[in-house]
Amino acid sequence: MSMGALDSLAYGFSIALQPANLFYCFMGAVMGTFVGVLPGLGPVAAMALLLPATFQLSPVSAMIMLAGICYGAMYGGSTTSIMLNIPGEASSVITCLDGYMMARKGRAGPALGISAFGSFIAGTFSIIGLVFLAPTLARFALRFGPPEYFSIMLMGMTVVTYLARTSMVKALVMAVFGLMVGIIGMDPIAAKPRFTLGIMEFYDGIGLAPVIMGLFGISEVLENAGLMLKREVFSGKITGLFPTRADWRRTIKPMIRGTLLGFFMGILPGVGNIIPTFLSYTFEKKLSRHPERFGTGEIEGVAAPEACNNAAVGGTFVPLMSLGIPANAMMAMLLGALMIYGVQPGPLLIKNSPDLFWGVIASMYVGNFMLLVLNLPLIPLWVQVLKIPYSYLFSFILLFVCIGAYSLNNNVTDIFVATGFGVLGYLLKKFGYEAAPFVLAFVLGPLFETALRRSLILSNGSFMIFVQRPLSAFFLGVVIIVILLPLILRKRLGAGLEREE
Amino acid sequence: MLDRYSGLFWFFLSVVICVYARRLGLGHFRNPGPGFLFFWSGVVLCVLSLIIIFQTIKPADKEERAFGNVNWAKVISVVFALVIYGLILERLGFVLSTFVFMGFLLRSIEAKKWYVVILVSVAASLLTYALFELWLHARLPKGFLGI
Repeated sequence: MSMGALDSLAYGFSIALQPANLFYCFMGAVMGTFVGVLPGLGPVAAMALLLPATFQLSPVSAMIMLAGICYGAMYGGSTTSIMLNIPGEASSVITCLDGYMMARKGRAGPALGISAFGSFIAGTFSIIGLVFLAPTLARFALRFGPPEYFSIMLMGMTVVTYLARTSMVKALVMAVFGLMVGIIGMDPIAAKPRFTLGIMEFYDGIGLAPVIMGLFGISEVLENAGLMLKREVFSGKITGLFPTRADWRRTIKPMIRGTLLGFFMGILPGVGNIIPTFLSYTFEKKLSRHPERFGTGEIEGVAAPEACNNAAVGGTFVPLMSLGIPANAMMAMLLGALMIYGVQPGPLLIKNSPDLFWGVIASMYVGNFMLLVLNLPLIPLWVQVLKIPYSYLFSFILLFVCIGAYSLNNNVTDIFVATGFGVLGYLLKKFGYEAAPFVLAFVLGPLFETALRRSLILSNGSFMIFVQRPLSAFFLGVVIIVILLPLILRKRLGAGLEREE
Repeated sequence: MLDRYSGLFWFFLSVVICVYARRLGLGHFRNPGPGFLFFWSGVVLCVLSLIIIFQTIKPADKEERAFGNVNWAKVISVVFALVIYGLILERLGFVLSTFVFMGFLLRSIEAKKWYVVILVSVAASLLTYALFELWLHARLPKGFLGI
């Protein structure tokens, strides 16, 4: 088995290292990083914005470039999360927690450095894992039926609310609300529009990218606009670009833990990279000797989630490439791109287009390496970019958000959606609600509903099906524990952190 | 106090959602209908909102949340600018709309000097046009001027 895998990998490298493909990978990584650095734009928006640039290329080259854009944007997004507290996508929210605090303390350099290294290590590991495990894992993942999907998603949503820094009740409200907004659109079975408010563009559901751009990007701008005092975007020098030896010692184990957690959870279809990243943060906090310091600038709080995020993305490539199931918006974009290029995603992809599968995997490794080499020396450059006075920067942020939103569907409605969610995000912040549970529930919404309905149809209306199947029962058990734990212990992991803000 | 308002908001929202969800059809447990998840999520939301409201009746042992000093004029101006940009984008085309948009933001919200405003707005519209339309072929909207 592994001989076959090594041969195929060698074949993949022979494709990835062709000069043309190297160039496309490089271009993708650079463009992706640049867009990812821009506050408010993340990998999804980056891929949306840069997708047309790939149309001229052959499917293999196009996918190589797109994968480069994806990873580049993730690297760039970490930069904005750390420097500006603006996450480009849902999983970057976690990086903001401690990364931004590190930056405020003048430790942006080590934060960026450790996040780059962590991502590289995780990326390398996950690609190796992909190569050797893809066929086998795809087979196991097939055992996940609707009840297991339902329960694991429910678990993900409750764990996220447990992590909340404000009251758990409020976080649950956000999760439920996100769920409902997420399933707005045509009913998949009955073909009836639901809660679309008569807007045709909502028939397919409200787009994820405008929602995120608004909820995080625009609301952050509004927050800054409303301040009476001018706030410096980034003050203070960056002392020392590289993590110290002490930083390395502290973060090597969290990075390994994050990588393993991210990859193995990311493989499970439907889990995506958001849940593992949130979980990684929780674990590191629990394992730390100073959990109360999390949220104030603990480097473990950056290293582990960043590694986890990258490893999870690598993991999510497994169900995408082997089953044609996207685990999140990023993968959904890649899936859409594959279809545009005329490639049929699904179990037959590996057999029918081995050059695509192995070429992309090999180039992901090349891309990861390029990004590490690219990013570390360029960090001072990105820092200079971000030192532009906020009074100018914010107008450009808004402009790029609008362009990004518009170019998703060539529709101004998406600009209005982003603006609307910007206002919503701003108000939610003022009233003390967190956006993170909303986003997770929003993304999972349609999948969650489908899983629920299919399970009930399967079981003929009985809810026992969720408990009778062992895996599903396990996930539900975690849900119950997570909800009851705060009541019993009268204490919660994230509670009280808000008071420190 | 803020929590009471938000709690009430969620309460009324959940009631509205449950009402409309029933109209969509709940189906049976054996075969859930379009409104099934909306309805039951609405019920959960309703319960949660009541918890939030009741929590505000108990004597508060933590500090009251306050809005803080907010420059509402600026916040509303930014939202206004975004909405207008969305409305004019397809009529005036990308370059012109962007120029107006950036100009408004830099002048009204940041009160930069006029020559700075015009310079930066022109530069921004042309550069982003070059970047997105010419280089990336993003197909930005063309207004009556064709750009």
